[in-house]
Amino acid sequence: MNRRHLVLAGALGVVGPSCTEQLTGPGSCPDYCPVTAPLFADTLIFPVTVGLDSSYRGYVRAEETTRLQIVEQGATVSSRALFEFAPLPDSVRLGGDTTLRPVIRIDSARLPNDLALGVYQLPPGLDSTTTYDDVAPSFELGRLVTTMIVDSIIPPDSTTGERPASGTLEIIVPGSAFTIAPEDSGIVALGIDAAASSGVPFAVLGAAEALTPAIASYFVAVDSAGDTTSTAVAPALQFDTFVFTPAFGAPVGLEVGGVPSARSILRFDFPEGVVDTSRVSRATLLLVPLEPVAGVPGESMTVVANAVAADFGAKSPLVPDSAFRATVSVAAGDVDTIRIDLTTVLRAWGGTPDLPRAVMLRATPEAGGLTTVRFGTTVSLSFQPAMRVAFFRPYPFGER
Amino acid sequence: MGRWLVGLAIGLVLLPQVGAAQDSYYSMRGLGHPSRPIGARSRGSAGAFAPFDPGSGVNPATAARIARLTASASTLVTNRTVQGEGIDASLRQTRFPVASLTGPFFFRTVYSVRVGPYLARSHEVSTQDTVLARDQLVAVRDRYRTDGGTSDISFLLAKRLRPNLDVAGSFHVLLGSARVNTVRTFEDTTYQEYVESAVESFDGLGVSVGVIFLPSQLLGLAGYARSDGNLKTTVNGVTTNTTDLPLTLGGGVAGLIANELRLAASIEWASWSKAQVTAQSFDTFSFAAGLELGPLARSARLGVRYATLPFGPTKQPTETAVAGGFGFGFAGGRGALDFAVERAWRSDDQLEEKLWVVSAGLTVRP
Repeated sequence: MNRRHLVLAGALGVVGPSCTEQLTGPGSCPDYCPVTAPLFADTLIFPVTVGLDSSYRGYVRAEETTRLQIVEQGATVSSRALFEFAPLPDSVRLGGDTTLRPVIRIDSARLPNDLALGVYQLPPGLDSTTTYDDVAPSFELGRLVTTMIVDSIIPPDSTTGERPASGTLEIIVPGSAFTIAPEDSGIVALGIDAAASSGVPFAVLGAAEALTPAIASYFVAVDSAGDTTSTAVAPALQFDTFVFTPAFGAPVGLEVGGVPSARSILRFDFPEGVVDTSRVSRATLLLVPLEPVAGVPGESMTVVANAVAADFGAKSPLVPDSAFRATVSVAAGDVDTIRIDLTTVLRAWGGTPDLPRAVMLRATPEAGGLTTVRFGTTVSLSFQPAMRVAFFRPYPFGER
Repeated sequence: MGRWLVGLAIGLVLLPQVGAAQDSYYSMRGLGHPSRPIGARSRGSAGAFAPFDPGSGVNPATAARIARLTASASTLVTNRTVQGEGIDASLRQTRFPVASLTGPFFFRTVYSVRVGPYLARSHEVSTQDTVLARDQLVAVRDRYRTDGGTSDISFLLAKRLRPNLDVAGSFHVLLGSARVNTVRTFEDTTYQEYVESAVESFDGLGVSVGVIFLPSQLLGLAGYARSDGNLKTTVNGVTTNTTDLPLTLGGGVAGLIANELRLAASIEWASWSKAQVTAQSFDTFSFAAGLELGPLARSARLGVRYATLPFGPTKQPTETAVAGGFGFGFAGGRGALDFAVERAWRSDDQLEEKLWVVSAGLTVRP
């Protein structure tokens, strides 16, 4: 190592350590503190212009929903599930046979679903216009196909011994229970209601929209070249819905839920600095029910506050990003103020100045039950919705 | 000698492991802590020789006697403890106090380009408090960190007018930035953490003149004056603050008392009270005295210093320091290494800071 190298090493020794530091100490305000503490504010913001919040009904109808609710709540509320299957064919193919074999008779049928109770055969021709009153006469003993006792069909869990709250219900009924009339093209329509010796009978069945449709498998006898053989045929489910009484009318207040589903829109005009130029630390939407949440006792509903992508009133498209929505669960009978944490929504708005500052309130799944909640509007002084926002104003960097 | 140098170089690299902070709590609400552009050689005498030291940046006339291309740099490591007002902290920081490149220019002038610190703004504080939110007191913890400062880049021309008279003028560009980060966390985690950061940029201009007069071979006198304009602070291109910077006047005297024993004293005043800041600002005064023993190629130094500081919450803080150091040349006078250790005490009526400052400098004349 010659001296030039040593000099270089010395130079590196001087330069090398010149850029490191570690310093953290407690402050003692105000004398030994930064000039300005974070500018925190906590304020109550009301929706824009009184009367501009709106409620609409008709988004999702009963036949479009993912769950079919059955309930018998005394004489006040009643709902029943309806299914209609494709026509039973008059001839079928056996195994790999290419020849159509005529169906001689129906031996039995298998009706599985998430849950079911009393099964009635209804006149065919169900559609979206079918009402509770239209089918009510068919729910009589003479048309009862079978009664499924849920407790006896869904066994307890072998490990826990507890009976699951959901499962697949499957029961075989004799073919003689069905009337498959040629004048009906072999179409079978069923209705299901609920009954219980105590309490409010309540069940929810899967719908075709949830990819859990009702399935009817017919075990039929087929004439196979003079011999009689059995096979199973499963016509597709053509239509399912549930009907109920009483029907829902026009929305009252800011209504969410019900069938067809109701939504409500709330528009905000935030003071400068709350959303666009600051950081929101916490934001809570406060909604005051006008009356106890309506529905079957014990049933709950999820209310979603979803930012709208454009404000077209009832037809406002919703922002699909999960950052723009928040949820809260409400239970039938609730009377307290409902609080929805909108912190992520307001933070997301901070980065999207072009989005309208409006949220649509809706239920999820929509039209999946009879639960409905009616919140006060901007014109109902004691029940006015509001948003509590804790936020930080822009820090005054560079000020001395 | 070779083993010495290797050992020293390694020691310098390891210095940050034991070092600490030069900034000050007193400047937290001011512009920053004014940095002394003093090289390791002068720091060993507590700054007493600074008006005569080409490795320091206070007096531009010191460059006039440099006859060949010279590069110098020094590093500074500070270990600081702070006590008082509920504060008990141990901090450390490493900085590059001054670096320069000096060499002959036209018409027997000497140029020099120097880079040194001007205002240090590096500190991080953590506080706890409560805020009222939704009619309840919520506990919060705030952290505020600023990392950076303002550097002084100077371009000077010096000339020996007569064998015993050196003069110089310098143009200063003040540039710098600090990354500022403020964070608030809530004990109630339903409140989201708040984080905001920005880069503050600083710029300004200044001029300075200096003179060194040697009335005899045993006595030297130095004087300098510096006027800085305004320091402009910008954030995201927007000027957020403009502050007056001080006029600085200083001088020194050095004498050869006995064979290989040199004594020096320096004095400096600056009008920092012009600065418009949240804290109180005061004019500053400093006085240093020191000695250097031995030939320049191998010397030891001692010194003491008293100074008042420019920013404080109420009462003007003061600083007292003692320093010692040594230096030696190598490579036939083409290089020099200097080391200094300084112990300083700062206080006002509420807070006390104690500092260990270790400095090392290298001068090379290729």
